[in-house]
Amino acid sequence: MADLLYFLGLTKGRAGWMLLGTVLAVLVVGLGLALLGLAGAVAVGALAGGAWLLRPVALGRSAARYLEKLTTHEATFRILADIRLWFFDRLVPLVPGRIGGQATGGLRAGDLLSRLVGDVDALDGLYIQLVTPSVVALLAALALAAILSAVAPPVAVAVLLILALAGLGVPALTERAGRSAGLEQVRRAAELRQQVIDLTQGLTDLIAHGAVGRALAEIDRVSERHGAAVRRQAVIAAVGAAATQMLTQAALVAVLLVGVAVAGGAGEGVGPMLAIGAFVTLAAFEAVAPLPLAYQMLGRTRAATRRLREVAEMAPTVTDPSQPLSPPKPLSEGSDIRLEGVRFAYPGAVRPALDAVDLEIEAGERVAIVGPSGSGKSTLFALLMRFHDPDSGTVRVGGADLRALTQADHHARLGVLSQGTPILAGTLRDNLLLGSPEAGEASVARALRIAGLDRMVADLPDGLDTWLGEAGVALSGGEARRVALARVILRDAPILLLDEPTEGLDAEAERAVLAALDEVMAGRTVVMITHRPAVTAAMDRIVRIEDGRLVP
Amino acid sequence: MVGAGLLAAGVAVVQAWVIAGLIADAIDGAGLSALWPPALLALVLIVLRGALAVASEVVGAAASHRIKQAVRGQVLAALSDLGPAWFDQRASGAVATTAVDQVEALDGFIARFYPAQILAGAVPVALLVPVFLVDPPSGWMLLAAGALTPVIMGLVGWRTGVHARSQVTAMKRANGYFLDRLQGLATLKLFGEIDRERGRMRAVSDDLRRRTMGVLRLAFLSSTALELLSSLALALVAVHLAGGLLQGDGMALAEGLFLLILVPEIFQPLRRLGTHYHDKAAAVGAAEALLEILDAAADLPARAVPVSRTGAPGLAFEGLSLAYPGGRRTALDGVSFQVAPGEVVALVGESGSGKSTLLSVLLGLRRPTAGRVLVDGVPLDGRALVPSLAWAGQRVRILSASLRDNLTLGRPGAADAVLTEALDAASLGPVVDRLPDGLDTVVGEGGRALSGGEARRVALARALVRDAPLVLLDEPTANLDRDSEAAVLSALRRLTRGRTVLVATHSPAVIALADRVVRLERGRVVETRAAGHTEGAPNG
Repeated sequence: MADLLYFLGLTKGRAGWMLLGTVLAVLVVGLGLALLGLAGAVAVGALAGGAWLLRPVALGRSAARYLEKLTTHEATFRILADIRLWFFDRLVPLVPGRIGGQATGGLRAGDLLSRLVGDVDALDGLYIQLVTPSVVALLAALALAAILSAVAPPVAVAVLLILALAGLGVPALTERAGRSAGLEQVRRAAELRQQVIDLTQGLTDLIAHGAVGRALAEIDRVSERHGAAVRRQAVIAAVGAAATQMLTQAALVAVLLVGVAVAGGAGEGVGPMLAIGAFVTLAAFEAVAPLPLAYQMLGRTRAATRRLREVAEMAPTVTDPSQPLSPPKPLSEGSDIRLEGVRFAYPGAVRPALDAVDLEIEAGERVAIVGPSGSGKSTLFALLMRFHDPDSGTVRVGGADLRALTQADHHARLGVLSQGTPILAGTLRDNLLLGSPEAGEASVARALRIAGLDRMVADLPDGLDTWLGEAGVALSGGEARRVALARVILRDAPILLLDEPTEGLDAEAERAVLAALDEVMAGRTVVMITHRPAVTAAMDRIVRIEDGRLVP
Repeated sequence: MVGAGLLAAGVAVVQAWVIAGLIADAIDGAGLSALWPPALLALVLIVLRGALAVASEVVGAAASHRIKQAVRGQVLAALSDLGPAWFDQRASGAVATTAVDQVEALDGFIARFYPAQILAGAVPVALLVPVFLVDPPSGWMLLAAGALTPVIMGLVGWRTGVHARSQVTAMKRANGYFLDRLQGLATLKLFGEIDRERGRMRAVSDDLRRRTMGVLRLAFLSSTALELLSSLALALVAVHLAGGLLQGDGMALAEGLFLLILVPEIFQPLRRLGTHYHDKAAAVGAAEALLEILDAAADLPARAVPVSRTGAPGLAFEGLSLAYPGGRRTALDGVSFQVAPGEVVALVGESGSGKSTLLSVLLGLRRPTAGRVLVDGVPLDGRALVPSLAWAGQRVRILSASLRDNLTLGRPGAADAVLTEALDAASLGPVVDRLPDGLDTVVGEGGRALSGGEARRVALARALVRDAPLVLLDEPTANLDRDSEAAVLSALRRLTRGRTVLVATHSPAVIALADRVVRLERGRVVETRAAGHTEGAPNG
């Protein structure tokens, strides 16, 4: 219940929409009661003069129903969009310290997609199916009690008992039955999505290794399990709906039998009243009919809410201070870097990735970081980007401990080229302007020239407006790196963190890029991971890391 | 499923008759004792009807499950046949949506809409028979109202396809976009793009909501119209019956009530059809997305018969050209050269010059637009060469699975001794010794992260385990420090022995391993020369 209340709390901004939806839903059931009651009365001749009312009431009910559905769905989609954004906001501080990057046992992108899409969508049950119908059913039960009590109190008692079975008993049973099926459904759906993403993103390797058949068989197994859960849900829903239907008709019979027993042949007037009672009963049961399915889906909704909270409540590896230092003005002030006694181990790792690291880099200095793979070069970058805080020691930039600044302020002075820098789905221009949206055509052209991309751009069908990324023109590995490099050049940041900027280039191209980079690096503090001799030659100093320690 | 539905309709008629009799008798002042037997009968009928409803749903759910399972299998198999080239213009997040969510979207159509459609045609007609027998005027009224149903559905439905398509497109776009952004979140953060990204996410969500509401507005309109029709028909019949009863024209009260109870039953299948209309709309959109994949796969040439070779093959490229779809730049332009059996050829050239594309042709991932490749004199067909080749790509993909599963990807069930030998050759022995669970340690996304150098060496070890006569390598030493590169080179020496090897590279050390160098420039061979081959390098 706590999970559900938590997410109901997130709907505050849409209270108006939800209220409107509920009011309309109540109106629908009210008009339904009136329509069937009137029809019954007219049919048995008790209210012949009221026949003209039937048509407007019927029209009104249909119109209200239409508006109600539109309103509740509109409200729900707005709420889901809010929650999706809320989840995104929670996710941002977790990346890449807790999720992705070097985080062990972390969540996978496909799994996050499942949460962001599938699990958020599963919350629709909470708003469309649960809250409003429950309120409406309660009001309908009260109306039924009032009307039947006026006709004959014993009839009211009998019908309300059956209504309680239909409105409380059956939903309680379907909720119970739907719990494990819902959990299974949510889990398998996430697993299925992850596997399909693995298949599509790893297709080349699977094909090359003749492993496609095995991957498909594995997906088939998960899909089968997911399908079985969905089927179980369908059966539970069918039983719930049939039970409600049976109870409705049983209530009808009960109205008659109890009514007759009470009246004991009391005379002509009782009959019509009973008929009206029967029709009103029908209308009230219609109001509880959606409940079994709604409560059955609660298991699925709850599983989804738990998966969302699981991520949303993770503690980020780094947090912004409550009273951050103001960023230096201009940004280029204070771009010297000082690491003092830095030690850092990834959570769960036996050995520290960095240990006793003291490093001073003056503003404007160019330092190359070299060392074998796994020696701690990337970790050093992660600390400089403040994706992690050191376990002990300090990282200072411009004299200020990074922990005293907001991450956004710190990131604003960094130009980062990392190994995994992705090309985002978007145009080449979008990708270049990432982080520097105001850059003009001249600076874009300059960045392209420095990164050695001008000829490739000329070859592209739509030039800068060519769509890149997964669903666009596939760049070769080297081209993608150069786009990332151009992006960093445009960023125009005082501190550059470059991880193998000339990777994927042959010796000739490397020389060209290096010569151009010289212009870019002028006046900036540069820390560069590299193993290429031609590159280290262009740097002021070389720092070697081995097993997490600086080697003199 | 439909049988159960028709049977249930029959039961409904009997039940309506019994209950109408009950009410009439009660109103006529019959005693409780006289009412018991028909009341019991009514209860039995009620339970019978419920059981039939459950039975029909159970059958529907089972059918839907089978069909979805089959469709999903076919779609994924089709995607695999289409290969990575198909993803050039499609985001994998969007494709995942198609194979997961769009297949699920068929559920409502198969399990609910389709049977409801059949029942909507049969049940109302069947139920009209007793109505005509009891009171023909009521029958005519209901017939007229019922005849309006297809008109309403048609009016509402003719725009649905357009909306459903637009909604599915928006949904695929949203999913592709979300996955892309989730995978690039760290970059967005570093570049201070989070605030603008929030705005874009909001816009994508809003677009999806508007399009979904477009479909739902129509679906709701159809269900509302049918509901209204049902209500009006009920009112019409009630007024007609009331008039008849008041004038005392001979109709029994029981008969009037029977008709009144039957009216909702007649419209119920039609209303169900309206309620499940959005299932149909969703399925129409989904089916188009699925057919796009299935049709594209059906257009592929017949799957090539894989040929397994034991000896190192000789290759001949003859005027090989390849243009990417959509008028993009030409990737290969009349490439011709030969590779002798057992020869090691280094493909060099700027990035984007066509090296990777050339390798992907040998993998059968892309079809040349002109020219051909001969393998031992036989033209290469599709993926026929795959069983005979080992491959390590430019972007190493480590599966999120155990190290063992990663190594045996191309040779399931390979013995541990083979794995250990391959790991040693790739200088990975010490790395594995440090892993908590050795070969069974889960690596990759969500597991122990491997450094770039480790991942490359795993890919080479994987190629060694595969033990194939043809080896294709794409930049095997990219992003490596000197120690790792040395380790990779020793693994490479081992891998090239007795095999035909094509390796795309920039590294002088790798080029030194080759017999010959082929330089590509903008898809053309511009130079072929012998390399400074270090013959008989010791301890491979």
